[in-house]
Amino acid sequence: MSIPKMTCQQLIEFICDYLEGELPQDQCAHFEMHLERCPCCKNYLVSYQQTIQAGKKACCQGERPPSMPSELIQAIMAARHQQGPDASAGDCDC
Amino acid sequence: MSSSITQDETALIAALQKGDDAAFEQLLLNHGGQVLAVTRRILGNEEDARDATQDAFLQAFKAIDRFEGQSKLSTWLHRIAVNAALMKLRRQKRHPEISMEQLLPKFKSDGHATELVGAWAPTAAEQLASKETRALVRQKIEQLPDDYRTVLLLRDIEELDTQQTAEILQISNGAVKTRLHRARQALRALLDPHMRGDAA
Repeated sequence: MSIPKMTCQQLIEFICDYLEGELPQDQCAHFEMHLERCPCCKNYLVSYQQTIQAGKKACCQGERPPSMPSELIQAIMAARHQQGPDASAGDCDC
Repeated sequence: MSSSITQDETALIAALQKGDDAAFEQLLLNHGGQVLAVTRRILGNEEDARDATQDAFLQAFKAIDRFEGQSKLSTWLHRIAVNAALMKLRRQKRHPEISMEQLLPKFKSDGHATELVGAWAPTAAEQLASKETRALVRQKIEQLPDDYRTVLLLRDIEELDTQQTAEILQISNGAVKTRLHRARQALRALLDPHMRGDAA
């Protein structure tokens, strides 16, 4: 029995799983077969991947952490002293 | 304590738990830059990032007694920084949000797209690295509805996994995956007119 081909709509819904390597092997094969014959979906996949990279670059992900400005260190230490050593634990649930 | 904690870190944690002032300052020097980087990435402006950084460290100072060393100090602080930034994000003045519906691809009943999808310019990768385009991308991220924007920031920018993101946002893993995909699709659609090879 032949397995129905993947549609453009299905492919686009599977993009996340495909990029994370979570698409089952048989669906992966159909996904890649569809890409070979559908330039629109190929364009969509490439631009989707570039969008992910664009977000990372725009938000400076992966760049070296800045040094902590000395005035911010002073402000935090001053706020800590105002908070006091006996302040009860806050809402942090870490 | 976990073997992932170094000896230096063990000593620092012990001093912090005793309330040692010098230890708190050392914590800021060692990890302040990392926390500030997280809040900058999520909040996108320096004033809010610094406020959230202060909030994060004050939370950390209060909670240090409960730190058991199951993870590295940097991992623990990262989680606190993300939470502090998200709280600030919810209080930010927002640009008008766009409707997701208009940004998602449309399909015919046979599963084909209703519109052709053109390629982005061959120079798109270089373009995306420029300062102007980065500012544009940041602006478009700001336009996404809150529920989608936060998932995008946590998964793609902070690189938390699905489970971690679900725990922070108190939603299901499935909801994280769906919102992430929709957020990326919407951002792609917002960037498309600027990145197309045939753009005027």
